Amino acid sequence: MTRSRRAAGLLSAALLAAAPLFASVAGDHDAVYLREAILRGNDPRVAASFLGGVPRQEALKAADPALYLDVFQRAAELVDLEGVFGGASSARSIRLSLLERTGCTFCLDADMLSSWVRKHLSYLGPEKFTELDSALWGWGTLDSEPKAWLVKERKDSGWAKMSFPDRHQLMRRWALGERTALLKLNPGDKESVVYFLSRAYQVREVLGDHEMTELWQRWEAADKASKYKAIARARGAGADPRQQALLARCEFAADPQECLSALVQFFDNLGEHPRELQEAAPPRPGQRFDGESRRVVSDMLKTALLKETEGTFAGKDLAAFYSRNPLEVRISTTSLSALGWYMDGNALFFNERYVEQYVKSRGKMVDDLKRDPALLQDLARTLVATFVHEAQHHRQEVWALDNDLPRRYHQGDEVEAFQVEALFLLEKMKTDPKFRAFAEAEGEHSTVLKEDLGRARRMEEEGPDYFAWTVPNTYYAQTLSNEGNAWGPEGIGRLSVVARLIGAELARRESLPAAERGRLDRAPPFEKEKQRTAKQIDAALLVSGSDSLRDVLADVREAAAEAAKLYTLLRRRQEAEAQITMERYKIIDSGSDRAKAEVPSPSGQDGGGE
Amino acid sequence: MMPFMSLLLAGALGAAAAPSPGAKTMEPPAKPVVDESFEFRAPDGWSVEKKPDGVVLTGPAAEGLATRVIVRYVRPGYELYADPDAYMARLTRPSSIPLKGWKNGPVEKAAAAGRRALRLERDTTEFVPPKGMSAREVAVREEHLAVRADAGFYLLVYAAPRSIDPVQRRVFRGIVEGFRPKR
Repeated sequence: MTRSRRAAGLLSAALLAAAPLFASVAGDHDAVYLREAILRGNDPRVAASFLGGVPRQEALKAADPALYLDVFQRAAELVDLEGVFGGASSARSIRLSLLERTGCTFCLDADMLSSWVRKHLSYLGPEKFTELDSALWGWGTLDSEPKAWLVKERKDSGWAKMSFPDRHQLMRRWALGERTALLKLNPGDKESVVYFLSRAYQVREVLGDHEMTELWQRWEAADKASKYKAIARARGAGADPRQQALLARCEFAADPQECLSALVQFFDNLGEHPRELQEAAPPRPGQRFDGESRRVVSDMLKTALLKETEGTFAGKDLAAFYSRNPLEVRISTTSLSALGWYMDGNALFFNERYVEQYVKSRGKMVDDLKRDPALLQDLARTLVATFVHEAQHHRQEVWALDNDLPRRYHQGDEVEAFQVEALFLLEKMKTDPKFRAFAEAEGEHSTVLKEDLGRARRMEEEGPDYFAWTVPNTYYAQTLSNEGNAWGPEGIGRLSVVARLIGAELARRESLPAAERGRLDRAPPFEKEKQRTAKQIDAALLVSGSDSLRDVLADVREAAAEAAKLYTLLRRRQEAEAQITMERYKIIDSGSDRAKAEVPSPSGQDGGGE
Repeated sequence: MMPFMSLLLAGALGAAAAPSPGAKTMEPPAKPVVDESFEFRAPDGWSVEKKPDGVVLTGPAAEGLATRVIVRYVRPGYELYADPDAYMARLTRPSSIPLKGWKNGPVEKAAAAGRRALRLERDTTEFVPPKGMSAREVAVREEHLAVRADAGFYLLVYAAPRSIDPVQRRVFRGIVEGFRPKR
């Protein structure tokens, strides 16, 4: 049996387990119990039990399909909501998570949510309940600065009765104003840099990570300028007027970037080139990408990255995957704070700002990446773990496409990507002496590399479980879980609401006089592509032809049926991937001959076969 | 992704019914965390995330990183480490990945809940936020406590930013003192 066939077998077994298993008895008493406990009681423990039992779900589906849809949707919502408060959740993560869940049954209603948390998550202590109050922007939990701003805006008196989303909108107005003010500051010494950071952290409580990028950049530049200015002062300019002028230019600079430029020259004149300083300084001519260099270096980087994966389990998977699927690597400008990312399609992106920093830190030019193979290889070695991580997301996307499923990105996708990445780097460190030598030396300078190596070491010492225990709420609070997707914006609950709305409109028409009914039957069809806003859709439902509404209703019902199936398939896929990772981990950990080892490759999960 | 379906659904959100989650509320007692394999008292204000065979507790944060305690029952015959000795051996063997700022202390004999245990303190680091352009390294202090059981064993793993370790370690000691294994 080939590895790919074994993998396909594993997957088939997993999927078979998810196939309909009609229980012989769909007990009415269970339906009554589930209606009471989940739909009326919102009990997350009963919900978790229901989601974990496929036979029980199938029994309810056979007995009462409509009730099944309602129960499944609410169960997924409740389990997802409990996850919002778990793990390393904080007031900020809870707040941002709730705001992602627009349309939830009660999670954006502060009173109802507080009642639910206290009743069903009573294992959380009193301080956690205070944290919930803070997450919902309770007046007593606000910092003095936003509080003063709200008073000035005369929003304080109505605050208690204001909904959580409305409170958040006001807090965003404050935070965006504060961000603008901070970006105009020029903190010049250590104390003012620390003060800047404390204000930035207040803003961070409100804004998403990507909205913070400019502030962190400003802080980072100010931090480095302050640090190296202190070093330069200690070194002194002596009697050299050139050095005196540079130090003065830094001291009286209008912004941190100007100070950094002066400091780079100051140390250049001493024959010193601190990488940290060079990296933070503004680019010199030739250290920025243009269209041509962006395209050429991206292509060269792609080749170098794939080469770096060779000889590993991950590399074998990727070679098979990319023999069937096109790959583009793109160096791209972005406002994202991420180092690399995958959205959809066939492109994996790397943050251009990082690549430019890398070039600057080496005192090189962008075009040197084309001419200097060692410089390009070092870049590829630094980025390769991120490449493997993002490529795993690409594989997740293609798996969904090949299985004719909609893509539903969820927290489990990140657990899987971190596991694959960490396992890859561990294997690389054990089997590639040149890479190992590079990593050991470069890990002293590169935050990116040291962070990745830390994860590989966690994999080595604590195994794949470490990531399942730590990744979701520590790092991905704003990402929905698989359960969250099941009831979320395109999940089963929303679909059943839509089905009810259309059903109600069609039922209303049945009661109309024949002439009116005939007029609506002959009305123009509901044009899916024409409707752009929720309001337009609501209005269109009332005036569109009845046959076209029936068509839409059929589409919606089909999508609802698929949503529950998708949840189970994703869960099984995740379990199968975890099993493969564990088997590979044991082989790498034991130092066995990987070439001879019978380890399933998940290539079958990419849907294409070999 | 079908934009139409998204819009259609967005239009329907306002129509979603909002049944009461239950009018009766409970006072927030500092309840013990009860698992089928153990129980203990969670510190006030810490969050508790249940996992198969254990829980993850999350407490106060510093430098963007929260204090974390994992309490876990490791079933007999677990493939990576079958007993406390194997667990400690795995953590203390020479690593393929030497990292500056990571350092293991000695493995010491200890006791928890009246049982024999092994204890290891170590220094590590974590980066926050992960995979970001402005990730910052945070020095972390860890304590791993492996407690013997009739079958399998227990793991209590503490990790906190070093800047708040002295205070948080006392909280961890309280968790260990209240820890009641059932196997």
